Amino acid sequence: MSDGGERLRAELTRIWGNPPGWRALAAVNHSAVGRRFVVTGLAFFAVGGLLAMLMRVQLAVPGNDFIDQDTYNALFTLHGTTMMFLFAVPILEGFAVYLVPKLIGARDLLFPRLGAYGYWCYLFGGLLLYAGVLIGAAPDGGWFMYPPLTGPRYSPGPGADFWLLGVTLAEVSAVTAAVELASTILTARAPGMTLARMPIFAWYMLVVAFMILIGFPPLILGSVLLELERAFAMPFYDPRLGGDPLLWQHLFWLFGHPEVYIIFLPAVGMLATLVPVLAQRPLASYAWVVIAVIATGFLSFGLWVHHMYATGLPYLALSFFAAASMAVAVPTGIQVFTLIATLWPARPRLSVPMLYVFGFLFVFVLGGLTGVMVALVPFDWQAHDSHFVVAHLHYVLIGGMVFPLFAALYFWLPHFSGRLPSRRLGYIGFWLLFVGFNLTFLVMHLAGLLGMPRRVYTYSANLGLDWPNLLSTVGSFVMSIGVAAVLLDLLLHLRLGRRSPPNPWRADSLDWAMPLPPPPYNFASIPAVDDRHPLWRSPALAQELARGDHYLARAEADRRELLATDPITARPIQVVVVPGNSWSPLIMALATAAIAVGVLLAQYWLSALGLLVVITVACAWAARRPRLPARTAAGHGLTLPFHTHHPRPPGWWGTALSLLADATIGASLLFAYFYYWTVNADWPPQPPPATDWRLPLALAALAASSGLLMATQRLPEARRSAGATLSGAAALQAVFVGLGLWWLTASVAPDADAYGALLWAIAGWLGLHALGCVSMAAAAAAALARERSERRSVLATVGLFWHYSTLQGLALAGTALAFPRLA
Amino acid sequence: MKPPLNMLIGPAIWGAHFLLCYALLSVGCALGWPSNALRWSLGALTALALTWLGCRLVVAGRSANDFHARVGRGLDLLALIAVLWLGAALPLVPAACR
Repeated sequence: MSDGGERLRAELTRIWGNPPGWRALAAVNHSAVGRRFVVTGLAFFAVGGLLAMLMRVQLAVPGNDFIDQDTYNALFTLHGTTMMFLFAVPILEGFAVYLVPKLIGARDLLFPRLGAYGYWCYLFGGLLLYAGVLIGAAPDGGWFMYPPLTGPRYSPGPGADFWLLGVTLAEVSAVTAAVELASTILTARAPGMTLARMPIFAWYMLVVAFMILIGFPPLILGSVLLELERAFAMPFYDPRLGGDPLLWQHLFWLFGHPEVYIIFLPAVGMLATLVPVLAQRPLASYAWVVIAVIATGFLSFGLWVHHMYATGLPYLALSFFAAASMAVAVPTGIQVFTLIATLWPARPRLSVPMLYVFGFLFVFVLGGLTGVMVALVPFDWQAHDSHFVVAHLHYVLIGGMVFPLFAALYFWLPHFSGRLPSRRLGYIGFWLLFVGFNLTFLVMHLAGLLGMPRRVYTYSANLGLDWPNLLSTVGSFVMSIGVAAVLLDLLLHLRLGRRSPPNPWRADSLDWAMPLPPPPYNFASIPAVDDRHPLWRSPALAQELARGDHYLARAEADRRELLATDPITARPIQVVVVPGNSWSPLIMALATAAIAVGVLLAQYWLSALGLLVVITVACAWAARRPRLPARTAAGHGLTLPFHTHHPRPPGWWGTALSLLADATIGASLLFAYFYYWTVNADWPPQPPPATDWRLPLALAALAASSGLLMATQRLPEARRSAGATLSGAAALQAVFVGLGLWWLTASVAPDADAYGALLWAIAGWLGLHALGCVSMAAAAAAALARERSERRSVLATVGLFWHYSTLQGLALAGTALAFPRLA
Repeated sequence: MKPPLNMLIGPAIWGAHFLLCYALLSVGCALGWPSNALRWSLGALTALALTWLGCRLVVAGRSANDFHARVGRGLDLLALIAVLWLGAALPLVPAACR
């Protein structure tokens, strides 16, 4: 281009830019959404920290009456909940949402509206939780909310409901982020960026996204079951009626332990990205880090019972989990040693991010060592529920997450704002944080070993606990001043910071191949990559990209275009048009929050209305597809189909990944069934209800609807009348729901016993899927009425969800109804 | 399974072995199976998983040396260590169901 790409960039800015003023709330661009996550996460971090300070003041001296017992219970519950659900997970997601497309050479994530929706769900979830606090209904059952303490009998107030609904909303955002991160990493990498050339952070986030998709659904299910028990007396956790409170612990920790790695891995992934840059040499062993990350992802699902050593499970079962807990130290060690090996021959400057890297190494390794200690069953029995465990988990989480996060914040700050922070304030912040942290928590190990119990609001004098507690409190104040210095630095640098030069760290990855702060479209043209370190190989790449020398250097018809590549070979395969700014994510999230508020207020019409709006917006997203020609020129002589004409469009990937999360809920329901069976001498507590003609017919209708859809997909004649066959299949789904519900209401009461409750829960889950199938059929029919040439692409996505729903329905209903008759 | 998904077979063997052992133990204890029978069945499962992983490592040593093959071998090795670790508990922990 003769003008050096200036006109191209101006056009791209117009197409990709965020609206000005308050209308920026409609922005869906990944940079905007990522920044929102990070800023909101930091705000919740500050709130969670203040709560911790109140606890430390209370514990400073024995017999203190600064706050009472009930307030203390609410404080530790809110502190843990805020830090885990509203700070750690969302802020790392925010980083990933912001960084991943830039690292892999994409202009945006594949589902920008989903990302924006996820952010609003997170914000509303957090606000809902704190709304409860403000009206005096703070949850106080601990951040892991064990029933029966949190059940209807011992927590009759609405505090637990605020927790269950608020946290579930925040979890929805984790799942949506996981879907869009995984599908983008798999299918929207720059041409030539094979799996072996992917930036290491993309590997980390790919694994983490899969962990979220498998790890979060059990807790979502557990929370929904607990809320159903609280609101409708369905006795899932009530042992008098065949339920079991330990089921909650299983579901919670099935989420809870992978969660620790869901927090740890992205943080270390950022370190594995920035350490090689600070050392100015490649990561010591890329392949071994990939191996270690994948192995950690798998092993982290074999650890959950190590939170339940004291619950009376068989010794041998406990030892299985102890074995896995120790085995996970191997891949974790590989990652730590790789970082050390990368730094070893280098002479890195002691910049602020580098200080935090050293902080991480020191603190996290200590936390890992005490982790191996508490992985041993006999030691854990001694330390369980003492301050030793509190100290251990803070070493792991602050060492493994907060130190890397601050390293990353300082490293990418020029990226967020285009400015450099204050060196002096950065150093002061680090040293206060580091010294204060170790003073607080190193001493706390000792307090725990001396017998200081967890979650008890005060202690007597003369137990030897006075001085360790006082030291911990002093340390926590030092640490807080450090955090305040960091936050102040972040605020001040926005005004006072010097302008950053481009690529200030001389980094190797594509995220720095753009002006700072980055333009909304990231890349004016999409690079081809043939190396793991594109910027070290061609330092002039940023200028070439900005000039429009590479792929997709065009701004046509106001379309936001991405280049999608094959997941394995990374050859370009389609041009994807992603949606622009829209209010619909906000509306959808408000409607999702309305579902929760409706349950909270027992105004179920509001929940139903919310669900209706969510489905309507989702249908509108699916039905309103852009009208695109079959093929288009993507630059360098390459002609590609638009995604609407490709058999594997992004929607297919998004659906497939969502189904993984969905299947985990289905599997958790099955787990619940068999768990009840193992703990109850008589299961079901009452003989199972008789199945008459209605039930087989309902299931037959379900199978037939899938058959009809499959015929539509396979047979060209049926495909031509897709609208009619889709309506027929939807009608069969309605028959399934109608007959099934008729049988269920006549046969089982949801509050009779745990079996009845579980049958109703399964029925509800299948009903939601039927609703999903019918809505998708409606959206597909509407889309096909406008554009018939896209039938294959549309039907592939609908079929994926539909056939999966049928299989899941038959498996769940079949097991729950047939097994009691066999066993 | 096609590459590169086949590199996940090792950890999947670990996962299946872990899940089967835990399920077998829970069901066996719930139904009151004799402790020794349980222990030997768990041992057989572990031997099977170890043999499978061992064979994969031996065969993989002679195959391609690209990135996916290397990652697959490393994962097989880590899975082998994790299965071995679980197996070590079988002779060491006295009563299975207590």
